[in-house]
Amino acid sequence: MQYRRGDLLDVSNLRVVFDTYAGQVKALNGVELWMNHGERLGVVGETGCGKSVTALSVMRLIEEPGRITEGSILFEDKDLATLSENILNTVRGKDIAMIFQEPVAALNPVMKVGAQIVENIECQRKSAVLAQGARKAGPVTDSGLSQKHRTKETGSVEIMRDMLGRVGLDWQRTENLYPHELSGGMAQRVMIAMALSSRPKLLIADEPTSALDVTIQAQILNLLNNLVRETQTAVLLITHAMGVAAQFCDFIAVMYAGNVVEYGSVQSIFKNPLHPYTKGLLRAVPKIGRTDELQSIPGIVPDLISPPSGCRFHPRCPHRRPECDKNQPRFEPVREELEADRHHVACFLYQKDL
Amino acid sequence: MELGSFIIKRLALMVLVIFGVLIIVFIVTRIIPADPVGAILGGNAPPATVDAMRHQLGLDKPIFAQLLDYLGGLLRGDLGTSLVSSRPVLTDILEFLPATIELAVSSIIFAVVLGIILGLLSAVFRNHFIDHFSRVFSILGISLPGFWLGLILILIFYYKLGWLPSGGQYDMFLFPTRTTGLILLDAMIHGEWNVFWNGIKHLILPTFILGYSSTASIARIMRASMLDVLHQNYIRTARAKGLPRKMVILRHALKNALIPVITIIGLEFGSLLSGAVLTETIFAWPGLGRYIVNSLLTLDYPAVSGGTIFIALIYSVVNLAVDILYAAVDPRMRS
Repeated sequence: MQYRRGDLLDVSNLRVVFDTYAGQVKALNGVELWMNHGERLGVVGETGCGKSVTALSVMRLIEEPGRITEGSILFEDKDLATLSENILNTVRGKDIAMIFQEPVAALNPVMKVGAQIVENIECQRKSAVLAQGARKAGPVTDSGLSQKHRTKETGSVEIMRDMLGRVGLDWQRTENLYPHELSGGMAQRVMIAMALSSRPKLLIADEPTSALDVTIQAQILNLLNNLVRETQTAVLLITHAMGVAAQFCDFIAVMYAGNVVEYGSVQSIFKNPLHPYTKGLLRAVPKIGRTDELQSIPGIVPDLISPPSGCRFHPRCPHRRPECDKNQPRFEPVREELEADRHHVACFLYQKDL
Repeated sequence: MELGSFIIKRLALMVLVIFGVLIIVFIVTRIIPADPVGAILGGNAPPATVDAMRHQLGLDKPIFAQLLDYLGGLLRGDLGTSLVSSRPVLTDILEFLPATIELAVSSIIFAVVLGIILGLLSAVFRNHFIDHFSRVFSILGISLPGFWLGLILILIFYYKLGWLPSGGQYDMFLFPTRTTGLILLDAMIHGEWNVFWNGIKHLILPTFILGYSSTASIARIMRASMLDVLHQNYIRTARAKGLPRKMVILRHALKNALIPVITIIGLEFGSLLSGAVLTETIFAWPGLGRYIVNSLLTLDYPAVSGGTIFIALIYSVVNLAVDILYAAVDPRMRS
């Protein structure tokens, strides 16, 4: 067993490609990130940098023509990258739940929202029975399982109603609605209720507020904040808003063109950004009271079919060195800082042996 | 209660549609340059007889007056009298209608069941063998003319193999007891199982020929719709719940994918009814389609009008049913 960096999730050297007619899109180029139980990790970066692909890969929800070519996704004691689909289904929804960017589109339009939440609860109970059975008395007989399922496992509906209440919805008015009858904010609340109904250990939130009104964004983030604090659920938050990540998370992973270029505690990233891309990103964030001009990072996001050689950021980097276009910089800890900050960076400027 | 007002609105619309069909058919059958009186009396009848017949049939009145007469009769449930059989057209139609209903229903069931299964498998196993098979099957179904394929199948299954009869609704030495007029239903009611199986055998080829192109259309729409649905975000949500693939497809994808297919089923029923005219002729099926063809050939225009109105009526009722079904499946249609 390799050295574990996070006791909940440890993604290392994750590579994902999409085979398209135009060529192979190298979407993830050795992603590194990890987290412990109950921690909150924000993944930030521009559109197209691979944040969502990373989130989907952790759940192995990448669809054709995408596939994971290399790397491991250690979740507790399992490697999700190599797990069979059947066993994976006992982790999905139960241990790891996910909410998405477009909450209305993420709900089945022909199913009542209450039923969709109940389905999740019962699906998790079923896989729990399966897992328990496999551990204890050998295989559970099919009939025994369907018997249990048929009696509706008293309580699923109650849990659903309780969850709707926790996300600030009145179950009597909500449970029989269809998704098209909900506003975006309500739909995201339903998604949160659904995701947390199985008490997951990790919640992956893929830009949960990007599609919502600004006022609703704050409400949803607050709600999420309170709920996961109560239940000690770890959160992997995908966002392009640095401010959101700074407020909500304990750790931040900055992604650029399929790589995590810098990783560390919120303080270390914001107080002492090291990677030229992180620095550029922070200079591009508007702040109240700031009088200097906002600076943008020159150049454009690279084409991932034929990405730049070496460090993928080198064509836009103001501190480019001769070695930058030859090799990919190693992702290494920053030695001068506290270990608790976990500050890591992938940049030749900071590699000690050079 | 919104469903009730929806149905009433649709019923009113249906009356308008049928009225439109009626006007068109009435005018078209009257202005074609063929004289039904000549067809009845033959070419050599004396002018006095011709005039008398013309008067008797009301053909000496202006066309507008004829239309009013016809509409008046229609309100009393009188579709006129057949020029050939001299019986009320309604009586004739009610005799031929059950055979057409039987054929149309069995064809649409065949088309819907096979089309949906093929389309579903085709989408789920995209680019596998079953997908290629289903796509070739669909292309053939849409491009092969039914009358040609019908004759080929008769050649194979009747002439060469002798497995299936060449035509008719049942063997002529059988005398089924009639209650509803639907042969298979009557046979089940009266326990005449020999008639039942005989009827089934006679139904196989016409059902296939009539239903084939609809099967093909439904399979194509189902495949496209299913492929679209499988890429929707809510399917990703269902997978993220840890549902097995079979459940994701059957519980979440299927119902959504069926929505566009339901519309097609209503439209296909229309093409099925017009296809019945040819299929019934090829298979000597004693149905409404063949009745209309024969009536056309003998210039029996009250029969043509009556038959056409009935077909329009069936088509409208089926489409109303489809729209109600649509609202039942898709909650977005209800509000």
